[in-house]
Amino acid sequence: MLRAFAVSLLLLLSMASAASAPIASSSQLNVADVLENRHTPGFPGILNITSIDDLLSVSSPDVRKALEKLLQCDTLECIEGDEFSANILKSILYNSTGVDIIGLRALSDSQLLDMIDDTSIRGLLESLNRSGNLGPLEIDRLVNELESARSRGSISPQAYMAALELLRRMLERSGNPQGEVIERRQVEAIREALVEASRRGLLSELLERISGLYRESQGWSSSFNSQRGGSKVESPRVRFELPSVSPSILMLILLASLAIITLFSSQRLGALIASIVRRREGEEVEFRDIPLIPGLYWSGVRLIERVSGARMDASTTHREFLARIEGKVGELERPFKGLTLSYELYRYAGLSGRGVEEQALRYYEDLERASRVRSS
Amino acid sequence: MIAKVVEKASSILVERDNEIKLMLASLLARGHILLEGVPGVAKTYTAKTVASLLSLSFKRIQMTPDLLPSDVTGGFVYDQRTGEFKLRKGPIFTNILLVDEINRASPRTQSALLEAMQERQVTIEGVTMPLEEPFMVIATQNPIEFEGVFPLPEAQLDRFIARVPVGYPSTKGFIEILRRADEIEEAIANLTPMVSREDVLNAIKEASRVRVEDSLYEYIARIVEESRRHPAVKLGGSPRAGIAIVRLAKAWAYIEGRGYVIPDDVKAVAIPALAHRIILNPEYEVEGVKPEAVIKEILGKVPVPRP
Repeated sequence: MLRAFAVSLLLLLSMASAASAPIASSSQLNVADVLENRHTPGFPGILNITSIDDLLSVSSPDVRKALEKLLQCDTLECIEGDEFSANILKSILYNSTGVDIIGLRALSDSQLLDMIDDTSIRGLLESLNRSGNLGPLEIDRLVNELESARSRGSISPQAYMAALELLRRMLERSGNPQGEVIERRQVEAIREALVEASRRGLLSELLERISGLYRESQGWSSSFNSQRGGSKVESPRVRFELPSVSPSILMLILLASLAIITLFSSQRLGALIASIVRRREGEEVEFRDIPLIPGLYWSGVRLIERVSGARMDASTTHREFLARIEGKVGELERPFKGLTLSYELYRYAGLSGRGVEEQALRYYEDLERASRVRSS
Repeated sequence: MIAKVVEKASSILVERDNEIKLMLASLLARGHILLEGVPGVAKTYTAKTVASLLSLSFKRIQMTPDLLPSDVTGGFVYDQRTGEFKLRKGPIFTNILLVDEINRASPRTQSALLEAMQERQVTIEGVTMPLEEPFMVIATQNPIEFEGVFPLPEAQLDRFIARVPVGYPSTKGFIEILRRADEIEEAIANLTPMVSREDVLNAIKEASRVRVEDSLYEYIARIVEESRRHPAVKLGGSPRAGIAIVRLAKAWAYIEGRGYVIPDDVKAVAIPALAHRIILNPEYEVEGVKPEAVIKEILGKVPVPRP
C-alpha cells in the first residue's frame, strides 16, 4: 500500500516541482545544514525504499554501519552482540512502533503472550504450549495464521514479533531444530520492520513538511529545523530534501495524497472498523443483550477463569471447560456444574421457563458466595 | 436400552468402548461402518459382540479376490425338480453383515456390495428386492497390506458413515486381554441378545428425532468447510460428510441418554465421520500427517456456538 502511495505521491510531486522551480531554488539553501553528513539522493531514491540495501544509500554513516551489521546477522544474538548497532536499530524501531522489538528476548512468556492482540493466534500459541505438540503441521499452521494476520493487518508489529519469539522459545525448549528457522524469520521481520519504519518516517516527514510549507505560504523562509520543531524524539532517521512548491499545488497534492491513502487503506480500515464493531457486538452479546441463563453462565465462566486461571477458548465446549476445571476450584465446582447443566438444557435442549431460570440463578448465587468465601 | 448394549459389550471387550459406541451410533444413524486396523486388534470380535447383543440376523462374508457379486447378492438357480429358476438369496439379505477384509474383494464385487449399501436394495436379474431394516454393513480392512488387495476408492469410502481406526490397546489393557483371553472368547460365544429388532427400529426412529439446535448446524457446516480450506487438504468434506456428522451426532446423543445434541457430540463423531472423506496433499502425507490430526486441529480452531 505504501509503495503505491509513494509512487502516486512521487508523480504528483514531480508535476508540482516542475511547476514551481523558482521557489524551490530559493528554499534549498535552508536545509543544507540539516542534511550535513547525510547522503541525500533526492526524492525518487528516498521513496523507492524496499530493502535494507535501499536504506544504505540514504543513511548516515552510523546508521549505515548498524544496517550493514543487520544484513550480516542471521541470529538475534548476533544483532545484540554489537551494542552500538543494536542501540541504533532499537531506537529506529522504538520511535516507529513504540516497542522495543529487539529487546523482546528479555520478556517472560506471559508478558509476550499479553502483547499478542490477535485472539486466535494467542489461543493457538497457548494450546501449543499446553499440549507441547509441536509437529510440523502445528508449526506450519501457526506460522501461516501469523503471516496471514500480518498481511491482513489484524496483528500489530510488536504482537507479531512477540508471537515469533514465543514460538521460538517453545521450539528451543523442546529441542526442535525448527527454532532456528523461526529465529531467521525474526531477523527477517526486524529487517522488514526497519524498512517499513524508515519509509513511514520519511513519508510522515514529507507530509509534515508539506503542511508546514502551506502554513508559511506567504514567506517561504522555512527552514527544516524550525518546521520540525524541537520537541520530537531525536533518533537516527533518514532525512531528505524537499523541493518547494506553490501553496495551491501543495494543497492539491495534500488532498490527492489523502484520497490515495484512503483508497489504498480502505481495506485495512474496513477490517479495523469491522473488528471494533465485532468487539463491541461481542461485549454487548456477552454482557447485556443475552437471555438470563446464558448471561449467568458466561458470568460464571469469567469468575471461574479468574479463580482457576483456566481459559475457555472459543473452540472449547461447556462440558470440556467443566472437565478442565474439575478438582481445581474447590467449593465453586458444585454450583458451576449446576450452572453448566442449566445452560446446556436452556441452550441445546430448548428448556426454558421460570423454574429453570430460578434454578440457574440459585447456582450462580452459590457460585458467587463460594467465590467470596474463597477469596476471604 | 442401547446404552445397556454398550455397557455389556464394553465389559467383555477391553478398551473398545469408543468403537462399540460408534458402531451402534452408525446403526442408529442408518449408516455403515468401516473398521480399519492391523490384524489381531479385535475388529471382528467387536463386530461379532455387538451383533450378538442385538436380536438381529447376522451374517459374515470373508472377502477374497475370486468372490463374485452374485456370491454377495445371490442369484437365480435352476431347480431340477420343479424345472424352474429359483432365487437363492445371498448373505447380504440380513440385518447386520460383517464383511471381513473388504479390500480383498475385487472392485466388481466391492461395487455390488457398496451399491446395495447405498440403495438398501438389491437387483438380481431385473428383480429389485429391498433389504430388511435395519441393515448395516460392518466392514473391516487392514490398511497396511498392498499385495492381493484392492483399496476402496474415495467415492466408495464415502458410502461409510464412519471409519474407525482400531488401534492397539494400552499396556494395561493388553495385560488384561492376556489374562482374560479365554474368558473373552467364551463370553462372546455365549452372548444372548439384549435388544429385539423392534427395539432397534424404535431406537432408530427416536434417534432421528433428537433435537439439534440451529447454531449446531452452523457449527457442523463450519467444520466441514474448514476441512476444505485447510492447507494440508487436497479434497475436503462434502455435504454428505456434514449430513453424516449430523446423523451420527444425533445417534451419539441418543446413546448418551440425551434428547438433544451438544457440541461435544459433534466433536466425538467428527473425526470418524470426516477423516476417511478427505484427501491430503502429497507433501503432507509424506511428512506423516494423518487426516485425523487435521480434523482434530480444525476442531480445536472452529468456535463452538456462543453464548
